[in-house]
Amino acid sequence: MAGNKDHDLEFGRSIRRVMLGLTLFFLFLIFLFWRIDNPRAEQFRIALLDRVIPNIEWAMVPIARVSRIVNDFQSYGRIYEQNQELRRELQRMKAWREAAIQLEQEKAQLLDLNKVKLPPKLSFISGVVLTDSGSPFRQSALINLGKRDGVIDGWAAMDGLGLLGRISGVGENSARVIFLTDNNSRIPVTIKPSDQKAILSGDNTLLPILDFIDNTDLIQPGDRIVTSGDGGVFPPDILVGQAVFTSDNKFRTRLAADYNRLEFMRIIRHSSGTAIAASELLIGDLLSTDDPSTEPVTEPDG
Amino acid sequence: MNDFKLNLNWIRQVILVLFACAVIFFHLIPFTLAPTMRPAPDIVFCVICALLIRRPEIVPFWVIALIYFGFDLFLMKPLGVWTACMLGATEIWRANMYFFRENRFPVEWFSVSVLFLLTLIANHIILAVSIVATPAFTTLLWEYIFTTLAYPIVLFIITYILRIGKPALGEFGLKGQRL
Repeated sequence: MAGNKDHDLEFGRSIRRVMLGLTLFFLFLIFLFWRIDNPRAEQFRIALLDRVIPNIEWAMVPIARVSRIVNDFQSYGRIYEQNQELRRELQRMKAWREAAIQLEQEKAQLLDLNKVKLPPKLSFISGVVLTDSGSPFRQSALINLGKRDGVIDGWAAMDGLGLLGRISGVGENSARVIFLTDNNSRIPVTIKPSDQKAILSGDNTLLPILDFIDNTDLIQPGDRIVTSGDGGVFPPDILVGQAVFTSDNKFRTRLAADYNRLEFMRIIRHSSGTAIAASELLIGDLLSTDDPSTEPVTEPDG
Repeated sequence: MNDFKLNLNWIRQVILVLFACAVIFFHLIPFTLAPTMRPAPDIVFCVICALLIRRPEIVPFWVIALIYFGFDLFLMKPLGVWTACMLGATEIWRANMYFFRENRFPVEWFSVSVLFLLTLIANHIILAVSIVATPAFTTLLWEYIFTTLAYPIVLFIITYILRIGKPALGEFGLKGQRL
């Protein structure tokens, strides 16, 4: 009897050992798949999150809101200083507004003189943040816009003022926004008065690094940084932030977007323009036919 | 042969998995989207280690694999690496179960912290070898420190509030094996 029982246990143990080995092997295979065919693995992951997250969002929202209220409550402690600070800031802003209005008028006059045609204004869709990445090693967020809303990989995300990041991974009802602060984020930017090109690369801090600057002598801390639109990934001239020079002897960017209290974001609809591969295809047939009714049709988009 | 035991382990396993789901859920809540240097402690690791010494039948390896694969999937980690490291770590822990049962708390605490450190290092090495971006050392250090500090608290809750203790001498499991 006892011997039988021991035999059973021994058998169970060896089965267990085999299963454990198989599990480890499968995990290894999954990692290999993730490493080799990363886009497909991430697509699988985003499809899964797309199923799950919108269903549990109702439970997340109240908790996040309560934590924000608590944070706001803590800030009541220094309400007087904040008030003073805001007044000073408002005063400065009024001066700037005055300057902006004057410039606006001047620009309108000059444009009128030149008869310049401006590109169409960028349109945007607004979305709500569903979740963050969940670990301090990745900086991203899931938003409630997806394929259903026409969102496409690579579009830019902004808050009201500055650039936040780009769409990377689109599900049916949700999409992931990789922030500028993420380790993997690389964005081509222009540093404004000197028009130097640089790459803004995230390093998991609130101050992403400005890499590959041609001539650092031409850059002052406080210079404006905007997207350059190189590569056609991003629309040009979206505000990113200001240059700062940090103690590790690097130029970094103080981001204009406020990551701390982010609830909504704007996704900029953007197409990099259609490249015309063969011009004779566009006009050739129309010109060869002598039909007077065919008039050249200009497509407004592009 | 009247000491028939009801098999309630699956309920405990379900509760453990639900607890892990709750932890993932709290990780995902967007409290702030600014990057921080302070990661949350790996509470689930503490719970699993504490349970492995006390009631190993609640945490078979496949439950651990399931939980940590969930973490990998939902928290945007490289798929499978951290799970495999955790499985390895918990197997080492399980193999030395009887040693820790006879020992007092300080030894257990110290060993848990060393085990977690080794797991982090193993994970880091695997990622570095396969040329995946590895997390910053300071962040990992904080995760290690917080997890180590969390262990006594988790242990206190498990032993004094949930009242899961080490099995008494002469207690037997479902199949009559030594616990």
